[in-house]
Amino acid sequence: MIAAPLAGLVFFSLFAGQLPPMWMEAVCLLVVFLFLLGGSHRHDSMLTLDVYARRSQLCRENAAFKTVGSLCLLVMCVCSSSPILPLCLFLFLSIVTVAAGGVKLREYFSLLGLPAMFLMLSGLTLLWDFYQKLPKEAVLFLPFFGGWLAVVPAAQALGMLVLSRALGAVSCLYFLSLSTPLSELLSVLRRAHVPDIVVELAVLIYRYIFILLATFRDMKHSAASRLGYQGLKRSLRTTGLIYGALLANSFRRAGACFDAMESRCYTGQIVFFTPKKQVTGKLICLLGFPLAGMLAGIWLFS
Amino acid sequence: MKELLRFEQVSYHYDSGGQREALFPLSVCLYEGEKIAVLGSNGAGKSTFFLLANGVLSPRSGTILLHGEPIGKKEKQRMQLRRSVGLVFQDPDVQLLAGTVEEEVSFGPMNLSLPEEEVCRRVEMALESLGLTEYRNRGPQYLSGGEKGRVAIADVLAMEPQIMLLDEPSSNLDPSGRQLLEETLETLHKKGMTLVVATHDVDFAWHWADRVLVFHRGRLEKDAPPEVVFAEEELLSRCGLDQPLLWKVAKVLQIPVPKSLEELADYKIGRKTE
Repeated sequence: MIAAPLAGLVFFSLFAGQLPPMWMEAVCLLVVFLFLLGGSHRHDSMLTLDVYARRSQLCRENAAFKTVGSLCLLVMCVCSSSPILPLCLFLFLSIVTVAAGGVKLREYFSLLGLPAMFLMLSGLTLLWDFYQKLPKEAVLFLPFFGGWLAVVPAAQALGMLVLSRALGAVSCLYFLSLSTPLSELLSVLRRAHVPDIVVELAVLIYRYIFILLATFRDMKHSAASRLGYQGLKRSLRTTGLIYGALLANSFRRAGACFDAMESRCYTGQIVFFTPKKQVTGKLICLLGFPLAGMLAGIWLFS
Repeated sequence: MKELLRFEQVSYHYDSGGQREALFPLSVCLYEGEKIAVLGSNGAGKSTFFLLANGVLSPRSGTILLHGEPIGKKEKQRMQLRRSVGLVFQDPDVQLLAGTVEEEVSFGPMNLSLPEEEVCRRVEMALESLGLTEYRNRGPQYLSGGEKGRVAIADVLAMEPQIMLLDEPSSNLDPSGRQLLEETLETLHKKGMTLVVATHDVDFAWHWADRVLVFHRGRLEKDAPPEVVFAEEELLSRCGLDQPLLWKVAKVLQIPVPKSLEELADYKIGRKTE
């Protein structure tokens, strides 16, 4: 709920003095509306990412190719000196993820809500700055403790660039994570000679976060059913108790899980069998087009 | 019958101390193709027995012999034990690890460093035996309790052990899940595998097992066919167990104890009509 007015404010500061008032109002209202429509993310959305990835039409494509492609796009997007390129990339990859991948538009928007909140907060701090004396070129200003909080065009340009780069980068990562299940991603990392310890930690964290969340939910429910959340003081106490018990639980669980792995001849390396996937023409087109576009764009703008 | 695994005066105790969950000198022998039920109340030492038999724990004293060869404390020898003896944990969540069912089942065979085609064949075989082929690309964490249990069994089956130990496999299952589990056990038995099932369910032990081990406070109290074990009411009540329902029914009706409901129906019972 906070995200929508926040986004409105950020966009207002971003375009103040650059667009005619009518246009500006329209843009701000559109943004607020979009946020109200899809921005309400659920807290388990980090976990649903993996479900969407498995459901995606692009899941059958070669994971290594997808990873390398989207990482290249990410680097180019962050290097871009104009805000237009990342925005085009964002549009293109969003369309690919939704249309070619089969992720529902609503779900995609809801997932964007999560990073959007961070984006908006950082955008706000980029745009508004504190000045002792009011700068002449300020487009928006507020008196603040004897000085001024103001937005200057240079900050607007910087904000625009940073926001668009971040948006483009998010779309790259979403393209990858909404089309590639984590297990395949990890096997790509392994083949890229990322240290085993990192990959294995990722495997275990990924696996046990589900268990930890489920345990936490059960404990919370059972505490709530015993009226553990009545009043602020009691809620705080209950929350502390639950976290403590969760720690004890995790230790016990970790022991049991290690036993289970040992019993299946675990010798210090977690390896799974992953079926090989071919690089298809479709994927080459889908990733080759934005790669070429970005290269051309960077060359044009430099 | 071929001898597979032998415990000779094996004992174990946990460092945290206490009599619970420890195992006192235990001697027992498992043969090929047996169906064994392990009974006992909580903390009777069933799980410790399983962890020892699987080589996760190593005995404080005594010897474990596999095919007549003693297993030492060396990692390599314990690995041999883990290859031949598979252990299905009570809580499948403890066991499940990978992102998809297929990968999950491949974890064991991959650890055996088999060639890729062999891993493929074993995964295929295990998935098929447990009717999991259509779940292969699903994430195990999104499956129901019964399905998770089946994946846990497939995990161990893919390692093609000679003995499979199952720690209370039916404790989290609904009635239809139990039915399915029994069918699974039957399939495994037909493959010639030795099955050892820890359970609280005396009815299941009665109609399924051909040998029953009763544990109580870390001691093996009885090792006999079910007919002998369930006749000893004093033993049962001392170990916190109960007679199977069919035994109680037979006692009331004063008929020989039937193995199943169908068998019970075969007896001509002179019904009382009032």
